[in-house]
Amino acid sequence: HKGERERLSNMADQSDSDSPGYVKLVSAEGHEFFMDRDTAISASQTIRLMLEGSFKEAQDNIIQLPDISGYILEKVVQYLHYKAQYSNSDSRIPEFPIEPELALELLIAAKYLDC
Amino acid sequence: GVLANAIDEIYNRNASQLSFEELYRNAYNLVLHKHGALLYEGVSAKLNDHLLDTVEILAQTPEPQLLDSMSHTWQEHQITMVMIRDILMYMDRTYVIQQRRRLVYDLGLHLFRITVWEYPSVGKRVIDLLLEAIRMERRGFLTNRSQSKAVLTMLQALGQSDGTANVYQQDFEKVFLGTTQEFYHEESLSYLSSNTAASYVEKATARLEEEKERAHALSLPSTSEGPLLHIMQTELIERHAQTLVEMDNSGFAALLKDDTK
Repeated sequence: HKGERERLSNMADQSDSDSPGYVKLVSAEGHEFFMDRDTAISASQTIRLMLEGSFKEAQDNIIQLPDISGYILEKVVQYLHYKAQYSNSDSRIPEFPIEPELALELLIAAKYLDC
Repeated sequence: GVLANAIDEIYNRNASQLSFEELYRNAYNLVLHKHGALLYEGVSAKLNDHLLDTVEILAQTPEPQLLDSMSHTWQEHQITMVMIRDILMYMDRTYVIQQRRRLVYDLGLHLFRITVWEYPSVGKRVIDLLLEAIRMERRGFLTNRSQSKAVLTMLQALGQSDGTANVYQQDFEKVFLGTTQEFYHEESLSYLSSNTAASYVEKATARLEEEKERAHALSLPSTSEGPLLHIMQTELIERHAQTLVEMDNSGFAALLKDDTK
């Protein structure tokens, strides 16, 4: 699991001059999550604004999210993949599991990220 | 506060140092906690301040640089407004719609129009320069079309933010059509006095094509083309139709008579 993170981290560093494949999302506590950049952009309008604009996030390809805890951000990243996979899909869409104790914070985060 | 400073930094082209997330979150929380009005008014005041600085510079810019400065200022304004709009996207989608206020980008256009464009020694001088450039082209000189085009495009954009203000039509088109009419009225008289009818028609046709080409190159809206060509037609052809037919020796009646001999 950690090895995977390192591999993705190296990939992000190598390709940072032109449209890198991955974006780094950082939680309130400093947890780093990597995900496919295009997926993030297509699934979250707020992330799209950040990565396609002229501010720091677009330069560094890193998004700090100091209002979102690590355990919520992890779920959000899963959701963004889920959304990208099943949007415009004709196949049967499986339910996205949400533990009830996460529901409220997840809702708040989703509203903020417009996804 | 944070957002006021950010707007300053954006104007100074330092946006890449700023965190979009921080600014977006600030605005987002303000609106979420029912301070949308405060935010909106604050942004409006900040934009106004910057535009007042801008117009002061333009007012003092001498004619030779004014079209270039105007065009450059407009481009900068658009870039700035896109960034500010993006930060305030949540407000645009909630408070603005609920309270029926102008969208942030449109607010920028509105303020630009009333603060910068309508400042007496700016708008009027720019119009004069635009007309002068067109007059020079008609006399055969080269001008910087990209500057004129940028400014004319700006006028069309400024009118779009406000339902009632058709800036392009009222500030430019009206007077452009007027000066066009005067120009071709005079030119047609002087052409006629020194050319054969056939030659005259050739020159008139060339002028028509030239005006069409210029309108296209300057991105004039298609609504200008009709009135423009109508004026050309009237001044160059219709007014002198009789004369063209009756001209001694070279008039069309004379030419026909010769043919039938």
